[in-house]
Amino acid sequence: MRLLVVEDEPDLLKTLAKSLREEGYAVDTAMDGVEGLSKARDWDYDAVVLDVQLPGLDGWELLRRLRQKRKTPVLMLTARDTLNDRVRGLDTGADDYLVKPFELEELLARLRALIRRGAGQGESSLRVGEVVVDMAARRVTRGGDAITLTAREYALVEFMVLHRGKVVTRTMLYEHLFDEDDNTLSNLLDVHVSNVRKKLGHDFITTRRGHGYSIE
Amino acid sequence: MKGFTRSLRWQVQAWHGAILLAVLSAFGSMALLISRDTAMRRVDQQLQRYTMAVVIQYVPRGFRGFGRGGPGGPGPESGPGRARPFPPEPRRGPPNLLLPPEEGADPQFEELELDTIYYRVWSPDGEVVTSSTTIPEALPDVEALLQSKTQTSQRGIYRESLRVTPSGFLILVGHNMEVELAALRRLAWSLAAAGGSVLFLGLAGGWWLSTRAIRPIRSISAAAERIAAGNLAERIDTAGTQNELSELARVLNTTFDRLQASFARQARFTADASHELRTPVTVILTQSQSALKQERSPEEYREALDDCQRAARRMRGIIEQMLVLARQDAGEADRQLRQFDLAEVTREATALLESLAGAKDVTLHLDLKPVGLKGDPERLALVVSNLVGNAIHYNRSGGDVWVETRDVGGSASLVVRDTGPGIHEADLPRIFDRFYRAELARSRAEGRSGLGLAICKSIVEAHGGTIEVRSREGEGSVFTVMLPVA
Repeated sequence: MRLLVVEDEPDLLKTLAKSLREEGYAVDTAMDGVEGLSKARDWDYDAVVLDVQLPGLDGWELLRRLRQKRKTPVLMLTARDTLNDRVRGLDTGADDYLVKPFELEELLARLRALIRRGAGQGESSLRVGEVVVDMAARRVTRGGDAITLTAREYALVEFMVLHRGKVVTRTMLYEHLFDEDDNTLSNLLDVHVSNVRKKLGHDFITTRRGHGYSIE
Repeated sequence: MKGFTRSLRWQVQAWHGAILLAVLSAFGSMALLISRDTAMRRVDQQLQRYTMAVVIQYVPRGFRGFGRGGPGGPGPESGPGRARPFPPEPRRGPPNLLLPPEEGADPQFEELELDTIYYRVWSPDGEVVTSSTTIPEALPDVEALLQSKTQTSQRGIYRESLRVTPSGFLILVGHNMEVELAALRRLAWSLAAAGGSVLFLGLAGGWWLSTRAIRPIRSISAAAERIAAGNLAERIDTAGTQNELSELARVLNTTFDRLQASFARQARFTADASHELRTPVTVILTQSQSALKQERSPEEYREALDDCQRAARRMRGIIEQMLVLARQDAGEADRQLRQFDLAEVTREATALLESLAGAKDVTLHLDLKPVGLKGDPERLALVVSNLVGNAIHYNRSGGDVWVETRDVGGSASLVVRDTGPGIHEADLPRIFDRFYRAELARSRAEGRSGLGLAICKSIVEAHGGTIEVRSREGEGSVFTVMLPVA
């Protein structure tokens, strides 16, 4: 899952990005509205975390312009907690709304729900054969046994499961599992796929030669 | 009920009623007294005339005079020929008065008009000489009457006159005043009735007037109540009336305007303040939660704690600045006015910023001419350090800051000029607003509260001075403070 965080407070941006990466997300960052908008338009992010008060271009304007092109799920962060602001946020096309200061866990939970809904998946738990992916708890079991996955491996599994029945290209995987700072030229993806197959069974991920991967 | 009796309207009505009642009572009593007095005087004159008539008719000649001779015994004090009787009526013949018939006389001669008159005459030896038929059964205490100084006296419904001729004849003439007293009673009743109606009409009119007079007060208090209930936009309707109350309403409306503006400022300030505090709190919260989420290396903990510390320092800065502003708003600043040299204050305040300038590689150029001022040197030092601190903080590396103090014709000027990035034209009008941070400043605003210039403005204006900024993007900024030399 690849996220964009737009926040002008450097310390907060740094912490958010770090926490989200630790959750297995690929995280891009932007410190002002203009940079945020150009990234959000150019990439197909799974979700955007957007601060309202930004230099250059404020969050409302950024959201309005983004909506002309993309339906990326957007979670707004704001320091103003009035009904007006919330209504405005939701009316402008924000998918969720969080008031500063917030609990990190709440932000993470809301992002998980946002990404799930964005992929058209209401259930938080999905079964593929004997493998069950619990996206709320970020846990995977195989035949009832808990399987330990690294954050990146889990992100791969979750992305595949959310796009179940469709062919997921390598480009898509690169775009959604790695952020702008990762070296996408490496064969890291193959390593992750191979590790997941070792843990969840070789048939869990099917290779479509010349196209990519899929989960049936 | 208590509230009602305390109401202005009720009090006005009560006073109005009391005054009206007092005036009417006084007027009525006066009218009654005058009528009674007039009636009495008329009766008394009648009694006198009747006394004369009785004297003439029943007291033998030579015993009539009242004048000469002491109260000694009777005696022919004047010869029949040269008699000059008193009163002089006999000269013109007996008074033209009919007397009620004597007792035992034929009742057919009774005259109705004379019903009310009665008389009795005693000879000096105490015998009744004559008595009218109309004499009441109960006679007055003659001895007591003789003692009294007045010629006439009232006894129940009777008005009586007792005269003694020098010769010792006692003449009692009385008048039954039933008719007059009844008339007076009727008058009293009609006065009371008229007074009552006037009082009622007066009270009703007063009530109506007070209703009219109080209506605008009601509308004022209703509006004030709605405002008190929280609708600050509410105003008193002053249309249509031009009087003292509409004047009051206008004054109140102006006050409400100012209150509303002040509340709005307060609300915006609170919102801004909470906004400014929310960001560092968020940093602390997410940093600490993220750090505690899993085992971390000492370096990571250190970094998290560093971030938290920075955020906490920023909060401290905001809180301190807000306190300065709040105190400034409360007008506390005017308390410690004294004479001081602006150049000296500027030098001291700037000296504290040398290390910051060194760290930023910014050179400070001071050109301080002494200029005496009256004011609060500590607060003006805050102005200096805010302006110079900004000039250093937002400067380029290797830049310069010039600080000048001058005496310019009755005013003290403080000029702070920098080689920073300048301020965007759109930001210029707002940079003295609380919590406003210019676009270019935002990204470098670390540790700055956004209150510094607002504080400067507030302090300078409290000293009766002005603060201005001139700036062009890319060419730095010039802040000029002008203070009146007291």
